Amino acid sequence: MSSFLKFTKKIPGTVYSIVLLVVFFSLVNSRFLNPLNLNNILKNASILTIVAMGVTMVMLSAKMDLSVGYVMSLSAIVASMIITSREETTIGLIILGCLAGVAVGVIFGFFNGIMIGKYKFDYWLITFSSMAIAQGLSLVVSNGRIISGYSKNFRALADGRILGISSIIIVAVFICAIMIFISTRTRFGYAIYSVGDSEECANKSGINVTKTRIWIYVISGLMAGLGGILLASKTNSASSALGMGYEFNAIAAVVVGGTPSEGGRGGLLGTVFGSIFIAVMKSGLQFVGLTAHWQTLMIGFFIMAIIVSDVTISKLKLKKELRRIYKDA
Amino acid sequence: MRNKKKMQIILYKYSRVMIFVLMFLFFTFFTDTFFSFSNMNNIRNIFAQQVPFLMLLSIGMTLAIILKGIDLSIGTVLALSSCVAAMVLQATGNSLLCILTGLAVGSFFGLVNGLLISKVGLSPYIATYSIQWISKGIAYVLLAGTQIYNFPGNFRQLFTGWFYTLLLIAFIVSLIMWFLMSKTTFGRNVYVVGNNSSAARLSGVKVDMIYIVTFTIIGFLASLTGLMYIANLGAAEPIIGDSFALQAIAATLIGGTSFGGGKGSVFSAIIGSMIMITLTNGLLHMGVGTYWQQFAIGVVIVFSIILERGSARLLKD
Repeated sequence: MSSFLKFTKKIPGTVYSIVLLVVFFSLVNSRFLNPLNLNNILKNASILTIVAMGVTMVMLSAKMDLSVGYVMSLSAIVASMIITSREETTIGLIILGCLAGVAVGVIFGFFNGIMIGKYKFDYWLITFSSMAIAQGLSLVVSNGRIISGYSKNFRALADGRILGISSIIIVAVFICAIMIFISTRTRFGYAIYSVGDSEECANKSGINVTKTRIWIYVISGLMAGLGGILLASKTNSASSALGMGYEFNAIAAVVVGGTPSEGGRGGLLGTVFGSIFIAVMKSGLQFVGLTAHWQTLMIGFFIMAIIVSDVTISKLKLKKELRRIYKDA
Repeated sequence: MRNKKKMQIILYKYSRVMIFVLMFLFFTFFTDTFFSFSNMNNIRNIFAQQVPFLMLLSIGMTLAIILKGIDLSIGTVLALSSCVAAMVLQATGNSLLCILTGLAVGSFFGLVNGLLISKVGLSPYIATYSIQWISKGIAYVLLAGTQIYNFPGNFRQLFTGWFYTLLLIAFIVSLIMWFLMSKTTFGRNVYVVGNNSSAARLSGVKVDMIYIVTFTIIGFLASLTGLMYIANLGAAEPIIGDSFALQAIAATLIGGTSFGGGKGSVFSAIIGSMIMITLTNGLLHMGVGTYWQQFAIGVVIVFSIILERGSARLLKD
């Protein structure tokens, strides 16, 4: 019995909330539990997870990345323009397109990293302006059009099925496994946590803070690029509005998953559940019969509530701790 | 040597005015349509119908940035308050009621921002970023994908009766804000809190109150701009404010308000907004497509913080 209790303690709280949400929505509308919908939820969650992985790393290092949404759009557009540039789409062309899309993400991540890690500019402002630059470029490159009409091969990236499971889910699981391994089992992963906890301590204990920060942003850009390409493959179109709002959803997934914005705490596994939570909620709100506008509003309120309670709880904890220290002294 | 340094500092002080003048001359010479004495239409349009909005918004943004904060919700609060005002106007036909409701909605969201930042202790970015999505969501839900146009009564007449009414309003508001920021205790306190909030708290400034009042003023300015905007446009819809926050940040920073807090003025907001409008309008006349605008704004922000970093070294000793 006690071992069972120990086991339950290890499960993140988000899992219970996901189960509760699923039960609630399936009681409201029985069609919620149909396999097609569940598969769709997981497909949505997997793109969000991939993007949120990068954002989690950034938030673990006590910074923020607002540019991921439009970097997704831009990389999707660049990739699609290359892929649809010829009449006949060869595998080579698809690979070239994907590489170019990922490269776009890496370039933006590198820019963010250099400006924030090396030159110590304000991270909000830098990622906010690179968001604007990415948005502007995505409009310029696509000329405001919606690009669509991919070949079957490219669509198979997200829509294909391997052993009855959508390929995008397998891709996401694969990427998550790598990222979780990096963040928990490698020197770089430890460096992320210690840089987020205290930059000065990390510096004094011999971690190259600048390099770590640049790598973190490059990874975030890379993940955004990958997410953008997969999203284009899933929705069969790419436009400037494709990734709009993804940065907000990703931040939400990270916070729900237990990584607060002050850094040093939390982890990537939590973000996976956080993304599933957001995807379940979005789909559920649809089943309850709310329009897309209502969903934006509800998710906004919800995230606000989570962030406010998180900050308040940590404030109270700090107060308690201070009381204890003063009492002892 | 010392004179050279003095010269540099003076040059830096008036660099924004020079940027504006140079940019103006550049576009005058290199395009046919931007400005000429025989054809003043474009310039009149810029100053009567584009500058006033950005001017008011950047004054608000300047206040936020002086406090070491930011207000990302300025554009969507503008959209929401103007949508609510338009709905009230359509339901009642009473212009005064409509204006009061609009201003109240804007001030309310500003107040919420201020409370979240000061009392709850959220970072200004997170607080205003969430409020951005919430106010956008409310505006979309209220209008449910429609537009409001054909305003009844004399609402549009109030703001657009004379060609320069909008500019006049913006000018009066800037005068009031200039007075508030440089001649009153409140204004001094805003600078003090922006410079060092814990020192301000220890010397008896009510820091929380300063945040709340300042953000309420920002919300008020945003909603006033929203009312002017829909009166000028003749329609209200939730998407109108989408790029305003970004433009206002760019204008504030290129105007010379430092991002580190505690520095900046109403004047720099005004010159910044004129630079931004000249740039975007001039680019349009050069034949650069509208899609480049967003890109240009982002580049301007990055450019101005690098410029500021360089100037900080110059002014240090």
